[in-house]
Amino acid sequence: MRFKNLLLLFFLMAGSMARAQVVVSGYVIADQNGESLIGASVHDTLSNLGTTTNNHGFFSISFSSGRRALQVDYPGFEPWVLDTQLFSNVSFRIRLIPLSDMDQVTIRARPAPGFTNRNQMSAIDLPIQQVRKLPALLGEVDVIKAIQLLPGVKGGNEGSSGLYVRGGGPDQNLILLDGMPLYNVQHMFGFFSVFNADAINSIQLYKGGFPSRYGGRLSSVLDISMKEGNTRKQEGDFSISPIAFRLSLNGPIGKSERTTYALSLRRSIFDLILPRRGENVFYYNFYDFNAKLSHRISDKERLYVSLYSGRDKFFTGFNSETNNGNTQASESVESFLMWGNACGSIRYTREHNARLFATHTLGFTSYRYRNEVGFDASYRTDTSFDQLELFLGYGAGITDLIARSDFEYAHSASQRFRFGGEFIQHRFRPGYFNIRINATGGPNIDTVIGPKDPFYSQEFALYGETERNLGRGMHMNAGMRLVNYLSGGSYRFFPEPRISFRQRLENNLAIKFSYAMMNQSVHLLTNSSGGLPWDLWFPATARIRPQRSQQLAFGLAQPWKHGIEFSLESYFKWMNHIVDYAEGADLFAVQTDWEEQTRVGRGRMYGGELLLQRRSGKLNGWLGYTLSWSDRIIPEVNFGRRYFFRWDRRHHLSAVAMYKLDEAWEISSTFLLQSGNAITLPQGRYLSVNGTIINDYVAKNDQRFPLYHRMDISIQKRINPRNNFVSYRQYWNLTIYNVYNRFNPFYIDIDNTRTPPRVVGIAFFRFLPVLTYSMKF
Amino acid sequence: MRILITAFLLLGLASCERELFYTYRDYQPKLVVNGLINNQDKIGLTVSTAVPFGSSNNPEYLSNAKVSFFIDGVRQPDLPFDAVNNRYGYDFPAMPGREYRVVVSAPGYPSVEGTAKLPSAGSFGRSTFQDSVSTDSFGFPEGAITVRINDNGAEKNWYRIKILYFNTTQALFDLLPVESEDPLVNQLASQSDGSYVFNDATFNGRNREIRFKTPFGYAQGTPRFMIEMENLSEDFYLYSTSLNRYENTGAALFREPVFVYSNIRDGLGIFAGASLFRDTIR
Repeated sequence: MRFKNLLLLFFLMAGSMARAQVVVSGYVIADQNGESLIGASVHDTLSNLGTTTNNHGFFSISFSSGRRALQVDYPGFEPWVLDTQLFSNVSFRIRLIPLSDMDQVTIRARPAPGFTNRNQMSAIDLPIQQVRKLPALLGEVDVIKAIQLLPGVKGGNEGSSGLYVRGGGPDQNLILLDGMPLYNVQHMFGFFSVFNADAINSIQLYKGGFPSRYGGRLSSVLDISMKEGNTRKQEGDFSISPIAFRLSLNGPIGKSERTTYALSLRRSIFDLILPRRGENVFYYNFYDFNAKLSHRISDKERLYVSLYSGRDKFFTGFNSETNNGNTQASESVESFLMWGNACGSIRYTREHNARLFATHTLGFTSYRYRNEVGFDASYRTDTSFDQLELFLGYGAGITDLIARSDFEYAHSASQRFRFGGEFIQHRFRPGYFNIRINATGGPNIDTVIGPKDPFYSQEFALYGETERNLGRGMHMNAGMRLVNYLSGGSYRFFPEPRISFRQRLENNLAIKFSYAMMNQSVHLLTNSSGGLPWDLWFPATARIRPQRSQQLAFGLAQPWKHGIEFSLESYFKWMNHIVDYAEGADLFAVQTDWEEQTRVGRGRMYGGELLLQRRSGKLNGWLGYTLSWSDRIIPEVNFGRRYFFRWDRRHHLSAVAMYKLDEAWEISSTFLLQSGNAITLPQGRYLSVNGTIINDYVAKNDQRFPLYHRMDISIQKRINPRNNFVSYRQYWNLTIYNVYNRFNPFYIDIDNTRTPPRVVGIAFFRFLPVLTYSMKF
Repeated sequence: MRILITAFLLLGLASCERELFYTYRDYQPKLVVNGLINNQDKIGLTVSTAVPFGSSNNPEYLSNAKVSFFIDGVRQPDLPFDAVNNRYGYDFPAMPGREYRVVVSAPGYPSVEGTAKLPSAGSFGRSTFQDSVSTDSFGFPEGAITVRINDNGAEKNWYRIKILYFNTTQALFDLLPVESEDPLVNQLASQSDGSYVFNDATFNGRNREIRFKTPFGYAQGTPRFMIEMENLSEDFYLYSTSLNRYENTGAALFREPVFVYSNIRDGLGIFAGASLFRDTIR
């Protein structure tokens, strides 16, 4: 009874506070195409209170009634300003106008809100327009490679699209495409990511201080939103590079601007241009396809349907037919390697009232890997006919079914809430071999080696977080995520506290602090060293528990002159129950025997990151530097001694510059300098008790790849910007990868064929100029 | 056009190999001592050198080393060198429960030392053989050998089992290729010399039977088997298993490197002991 009275009092107080205030809500969209602008800043310049738009471009903020000077900012767009008296709730549909190229030269009197105003720390939103201008390996614009140039993020091997954030592993990144996780984001053996830049609207990366609405991975969240489609007119893009062609179409369906679509297709072109005829056939191809349908049911309700599908296939085939006197023989060997993802979601959003916004999502994601080798032979004589069929197949994969509800509630000018829940059913298909032998008059075998049945596990999470302005420039985000994990009959419960503070000082310097705990119930074993897609996802078990990380971060941020934003962050992260290969682990055996071939331990990561960024103006880009350490300690590996994580790189310096010469010409360049990653190499040789010569590996990962550095340049020329009959633009882009022909090894191997044996590096990408063509219509 | 694009792709994707020169100047010359001793065979060990990885020299046995030997802390005469077998040794075996220490020095190398303590003699029950207990996939009869261990619960134990059969043609004992469905002697326990190595973690202090299937053709007539059962020291176990993993490691690209265990202070190699028990079945 007493509790009920307290509850009633709480709601009465909350209600009375609410009545004293007005709510400003609405959507922020790009004027030219109606796309939602995600992460746009909406703030009152008089009180410095503000918020940002969510993944649907929606915002809601409540103020006390009276005069307000509202300003909406988004990089690359004119700020929207409104000085008004507010006496009642008001809703806006704000269309931001893109800055013309020359306008961007002008530095606005008030700098666009950046790291200083953002309450969230360790987060970066990367405008897709910037990503598209960066020099790209073989002309393929790649979101992941652009992210690798940010401080705190490192790539894997030379040219690969691996992602290692603040010392974490590639499995510890929650990569979301319209809210659905993707398990493998690599095409072409890791050289390109699966994200087609033409299909993307926004990219947000969280390296720490994770909001409670995200969970399930330890090291980062990469939240990518797909384009919704132009609400006013049909438009499209076509481009072709030596690797692939891309075609994107988007626009309204009907004339009401209520329904839009966006379709993007990318396909490799090797197999289309290389001959397939003859007895021996070899081809490789990949494709990815993005589709999104957005429908405005009413002013307050929207429905989104998103779909992604991508696949890589590598095929070899050899056929022969011989006629040797009395015997006719026909033999063929075919093998293929195939992997890919698919994900899809249906999202329904509803603005229940000016304060409460809800998103309900239902979706799935799936990753599949398949490798098959088949041999067929037949031998015919005058008196007999024999056939032989051999087949070896290997498969692995994971499929998730996901249901999620998220709510945002703008309680007052100084406080807002987010809360919701998520249910995930994982269906693991750990590696299994399928063997089939059929022979005339011989044995007929059809068997499966490895686990025949899939494993299932479930995750159910509830979260709540609040953003509160504590006054005097102090802001706090606090939240809790409660995770329930059920696998193989064992149940685990994890509370995950998250908290962050921002103190803004008078000189616009912001001091930030955050703490986050994360748990991860899925583990990954991958052969990232060879760049092959042998990803094996497996669930936490009684022996291999869910991974856990805790991260502390401190930061400073300040806007400088000329639109430059300064950010400095340091972090300390420690992780438990992380897995690594057992010594001598066989990457083939791991596929079916992962519990025996892995070992569990802990790791620690710490470092500092500096970022100077300019996001508008004729010359823009960023300069990033990271000093970091990442190591592991795992019993039974390296004799239980601490060792460096394979992708530990002490220094990482990146410089990115984009310069618009005039309406037609644009030039951009990137420079990357980083320490070599760790590697285990033998340092000596000696005799074993059997008299054989064996290598003396003094310690695991105690050697380094050579220093890595590389410069890329991209020059873009826009031609016939206006045609009298049809409006379209064409672009020629010359990208030079590795301008000064630096030898950056992709991998290092031991050549035992020589005496003495030698260490050799193999590099794939030296000086590499590529011309690409694209057209927008 | 196709030719141009193909040539371009080949140019761009063609790998480029170059030797990388890692400096091994920090790698100091080391002595390597290898000696696995037991209570049945004469005490012996080899002394050799480790060389830097990039060196054009191969590691070699040393014949001019001084090998000081201690039993339970009491110094013994230096181990003499046997030029025929490239080894230093005595003419008598080690004894269970005793501690042996070796200190080795040679000109140009820092001296090294290692200690081996022979575990107490393991308690093994009599092994038994049964003929024709099952059939293989071709319908041929298989026999079964049952090995019995009475584990001492007061200490942690490591075991090695090897089964031999008497080859009447050559009049000697040869390795018998046995199989087992017992999880204790799974693939991880299997060693390249045909033995099985495991510990007592799952049956500490209890009696344990392990059944091995003998293949058809080895148990005809009046078969003779020899079962070698060893109670290993931990160092012996760690060295044997890590060396076995190392030797099974194939192409480096798809394998994690293996660190071979060593208990030689300031050097490399192994000096460890085991108590061996041989049982025969007729």
